[in-house]
Amino acid sequence: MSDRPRAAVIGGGIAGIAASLNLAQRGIGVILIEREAQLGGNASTVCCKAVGGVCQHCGGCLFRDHLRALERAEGVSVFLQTHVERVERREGRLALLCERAQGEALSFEVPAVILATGFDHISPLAKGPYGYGLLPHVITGRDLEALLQGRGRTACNELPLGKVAFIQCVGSRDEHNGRGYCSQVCCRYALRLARVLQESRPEAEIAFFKMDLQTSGRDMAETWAAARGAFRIVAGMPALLERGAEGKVAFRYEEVLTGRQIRESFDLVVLATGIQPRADAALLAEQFGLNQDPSGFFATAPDGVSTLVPGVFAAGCCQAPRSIAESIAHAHQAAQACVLYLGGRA
Amino acid sequence: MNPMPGRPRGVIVLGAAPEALCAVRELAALGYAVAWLPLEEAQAPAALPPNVAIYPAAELVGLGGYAGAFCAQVRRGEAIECLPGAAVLIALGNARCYPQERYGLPLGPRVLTPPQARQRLKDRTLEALLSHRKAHFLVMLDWGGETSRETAVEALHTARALRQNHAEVTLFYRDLKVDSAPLERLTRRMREEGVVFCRYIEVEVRFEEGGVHIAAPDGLVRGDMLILPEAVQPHPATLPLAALLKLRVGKDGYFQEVNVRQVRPGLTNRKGIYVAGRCHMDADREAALEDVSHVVASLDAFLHSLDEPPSGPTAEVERDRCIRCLTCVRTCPHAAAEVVEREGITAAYVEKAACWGCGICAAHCPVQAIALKGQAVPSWLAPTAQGVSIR
Amino acid sequence: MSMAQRLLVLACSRSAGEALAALEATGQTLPPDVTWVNLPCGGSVDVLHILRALEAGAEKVWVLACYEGACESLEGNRWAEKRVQWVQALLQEIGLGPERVVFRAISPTMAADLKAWLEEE
Ligand code: SF4
Ligand code: SF4
Ligand code: SF4
Ligand code: SF4
Repeated sequence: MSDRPRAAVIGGGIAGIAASLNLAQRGIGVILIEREAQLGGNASTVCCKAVGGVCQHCGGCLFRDHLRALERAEGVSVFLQTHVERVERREGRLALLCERAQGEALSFEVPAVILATGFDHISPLAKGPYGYGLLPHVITGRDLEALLQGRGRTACNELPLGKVAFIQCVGSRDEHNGRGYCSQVCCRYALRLARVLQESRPEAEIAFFKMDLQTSGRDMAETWAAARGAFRIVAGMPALLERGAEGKVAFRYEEVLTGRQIRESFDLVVLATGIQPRADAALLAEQFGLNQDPSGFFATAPDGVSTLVPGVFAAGCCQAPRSIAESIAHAHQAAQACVLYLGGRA
Repeated sequence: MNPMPGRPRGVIVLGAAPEALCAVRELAALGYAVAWLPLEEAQAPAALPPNVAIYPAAELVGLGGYAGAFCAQVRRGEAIECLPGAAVLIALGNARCYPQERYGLPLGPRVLTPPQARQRLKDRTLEALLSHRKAHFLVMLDWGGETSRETAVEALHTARALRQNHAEVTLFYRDLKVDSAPLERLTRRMREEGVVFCRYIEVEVRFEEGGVHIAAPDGLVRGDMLILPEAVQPHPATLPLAALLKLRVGKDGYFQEVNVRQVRPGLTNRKGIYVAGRCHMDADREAALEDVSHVVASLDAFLHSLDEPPSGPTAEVERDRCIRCLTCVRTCPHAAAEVVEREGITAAYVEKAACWGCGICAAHCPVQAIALKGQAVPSWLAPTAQGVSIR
Repeated sequence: MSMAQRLLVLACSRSAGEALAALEATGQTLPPDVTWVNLPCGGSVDVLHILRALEAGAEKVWVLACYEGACESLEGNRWAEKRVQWVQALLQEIGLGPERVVFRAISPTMAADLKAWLEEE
């Protein structure tokens, strides 16, 4: 083991695990560093969205598949509750000076590093007028995911599923907030979640308020075919969300196509919040000497995985927003680039 | 760098799509000997790396062997030749058509597809229209059904090119595809350059003397030409190739990756056989080429792990009990079981390197001749040849 | 080797087995009168497995496998469901309750649902 080539992967979410598996498959020793007490990151909080006995390809179960594969993989050492404090360059190698849970210091010297530090959910408070935390029954898609995963499908019975509004692009595609980009995942998860809600309450009236729904891709074909007729899809974004009568949430919106101003109330509002760079992305970028793109994600060469620092690669959502399956694919590519780099140096 | 020190391995690449060329280049750069079968008339690219052998006119008649030791049986003239490879990568791409039924409009002097419009820009046959006055092109996305990602992106690029040739361009859409950074940049730039974006739910298209009229939410728009994107469909070779290689095809007619539960990008239902690009996904060209990199990365890692003994259970046939009913051959979803003659017995045989250990064959075998080695089931549960009595 | 009497679970290890692992990771255990058998895939559930479990005295048998479209071996879950239906028909025919054998689809993320099902049973 000691004479194996080694690499470090920082971040034990789905991308980090996938990158580690790819490296381990080639007999490369991996040091997998995770800040939290558990592996999994954001992908481990995704709920199953199968409807009518059929999988909707949300990728939620890929986390446990990866965890199982990781248990079987050889040569991956996992360090939980560990984070990088400082990075030093030593003759072309990278020394990662880390700190563990109880302030214990730990350091690794490796020729290459894959950063797979993931993302933060955009705070629903970024959109002030949406009243998150102030109005009852205004939740985020992520809250809904966590509820369904933590409590199971029966949790639907406690939700007020009369009239439900999904509001898309909360915090994404918003230049004024410094997030001009599309988060890519929220249309997909929202449509899938809406079908789950509808399954448990078929008479629920579900509406989507959107700019553009992102429904392309083969894994969305069935979901979109079923959703198209089942939900009301409104081109128009709500303005201010307010307390309505009987504990409902009311808002006004302009229907883009007709210009009509409409006021409507809903029993439940789900805010489709998206993906943003982690709060500590700038710190990591500084430690490793990386650039960030204008949105704050790690900048890479045109290959999408090599950062501008030799031996440092980026995988998954720390580089750009992507779905679980796409993060996995991207992580494999990052591992490949890392292997070529290691080989080139040997 | 040789990916397999002391053990050069080959990869068989099938297909003529741009993805195939990209895969061939990436694999060759990794040091693999690549046997490339385009399977259709295609122009061989000028410069290929020395470790690539292209078989332009070869017909694939079968695939023998298993992961780590495949053999592509190729007809060349009279002879059948065997091309060895440790893995197979399929990159057929997709096919295009003009969906006349969906649009209810034939192509004609006032109705063009984006490639036709690009062609006319190139050969300057639009010049008359463009110079004589401000020409107005109407580009219609999502009409009669969602436009595929690839052709929508192509229509966007075409709209932009027309605009850059000083035409007026109005683009009608229902849901703009912005779910990738390059796409978002593209649409932003198009807006800045003066392409008019017009959202619709229902539109009415009429042809009147000298023009196309579109009744849209913003009122009546009058243009000179209507641009309607093409549709994509599975490559015609998908089904025959899937049958030949025992691969799965989805309901939509494209190759099926093993499914969402897979840990390895691009892997099909057979170990060592991968699909990449537009023969298994709805992607624009750029995304399809990215997919090739993902799949090559997962394939390369797999080939590195071949020397390790397979972990997990595998099926083993008690060959003298087998009655050669072929049930296992039919039901194995991973094409790992076959009936062969070995050591003087003709009976079912499971190739360990191809087996996923799912146990489907064992549950099907009418004489319980198959056991899953490495899988412990409590003895009181194990099927026996005796009867069962339920209380 | 014997088994608990109340419920026997024949579980696809990739879905139900993982859901159980997730449940156990939170410190919870199976009720003592439930016997859990992990199989590599729903498709390896044999009719004989189910019948032998009933023979061994299980009051109920659950067969748990992936949702349609999520099975790693493509149709292992469908085979499992078909076998359950077959046994149900058989039980009906011989005058035993077909509800003694149940098929359920599950995913690895459904630890909470699994817990709820076990409590309900
Ligand atoms: S992919 Fe999603 S919907 Fe399908 S089984 Fe897994 S968690 Fe459930
Ligand atoms: S995926 Fe949908 S909701 Fe999310 S940012 Fe993009 S368009 Fe908006
Ligand atoms: S199912 Fe059993 S008997 Fe039939 S061919 Fe296979 S091993 Fe032989
Ligand atoms: S266990 Fe049987 S059915 Fe499953 S892959 Fe192996 S040979 Fe095929």
